[in-house]
Amino acid sequence: MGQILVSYFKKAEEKGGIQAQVKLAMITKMSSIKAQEAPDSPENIKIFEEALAQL
Amino acid sequence: MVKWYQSLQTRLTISFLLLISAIALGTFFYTVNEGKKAITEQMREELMLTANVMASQLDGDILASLHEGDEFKDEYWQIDDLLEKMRGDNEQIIYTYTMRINTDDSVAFVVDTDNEETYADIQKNLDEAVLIDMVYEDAPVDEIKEGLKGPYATEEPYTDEWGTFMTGYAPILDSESNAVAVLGVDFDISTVKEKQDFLSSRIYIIIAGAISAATLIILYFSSTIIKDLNKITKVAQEVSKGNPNVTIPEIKTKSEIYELNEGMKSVLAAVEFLTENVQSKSAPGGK
Repeated sequence: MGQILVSYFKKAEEKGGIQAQVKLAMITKMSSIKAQEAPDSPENIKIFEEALAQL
Repeated sequence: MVKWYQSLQTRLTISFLLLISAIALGTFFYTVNEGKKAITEQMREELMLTANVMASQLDGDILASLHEGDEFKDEYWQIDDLLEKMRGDNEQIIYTYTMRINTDDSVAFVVDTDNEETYADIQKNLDEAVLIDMVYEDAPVDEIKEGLKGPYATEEPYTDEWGTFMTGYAPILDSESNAVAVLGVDFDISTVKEKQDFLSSRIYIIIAGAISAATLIILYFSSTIIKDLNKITKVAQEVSKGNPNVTIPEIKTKSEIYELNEGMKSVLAAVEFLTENVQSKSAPGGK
């Protein structure tokens, strides 16, 4: 549950460090713990994909 | 805690209430005023029409021939009876009387239906009888002169020694179509006042109902808005107390409050992430 979503925080870190991770959390409105708890649903994955594209 | 008089709900409700009251009062006074004018104008039209129709039935030659002391003549009573009969058909008519304008611009009565029914009655009650060529004291000469030219009615109700009326005037023509006298028809203005009061009371009820309905609607909408705002305010207050683990409310309406709530979610997500990050770094074996 939420493993795919959490992986986006790692991708964000690779892209721009902690600043990018904070921005990802703000756009998706989920911290990494919340992402872990959230289902890896297509809707959530889409939100994270779009957020990552904005970083 | 926001005091009640500083709350948005109170301010919104009072502002809208004042606005609606101002509009409603403006509408009320304008409508009542225009309505009263319309009713008065309708009464004037009715008066002019009535006076004109009645005057057309009177014989100007007979009236012109009547002079002081002719109350005993059949011609006098012929005119009097006709006026009485026509007056009897209309409940609004209080007095009907014929007048002529003297060379010195004074107005004199000719036949007045307020007189007693026979010449004997007049003789018995001479002090109160209105006799031929008796001068009409304080007569509205200009209006009577207008009535000599054609049908005319007083602009507004007026009060004289006999009461408060609106009067219609119309010329009485002789066989050569010369205006030899003026017929005056007094309408009881209580009917006008009744119509005006009825209009005012109805509009007052409608406006009062509209203000009440508008107040309820404003209260409902402002309480809905304030309810959502209060939810977000509570979250902000919890965060300001150092407690970021709060549940963000769900705002369904896509309004500015929804945007504010979404912004709050973003900020809290960032705070949570940073908190987690600091905690994981400070934990034993953290990066």
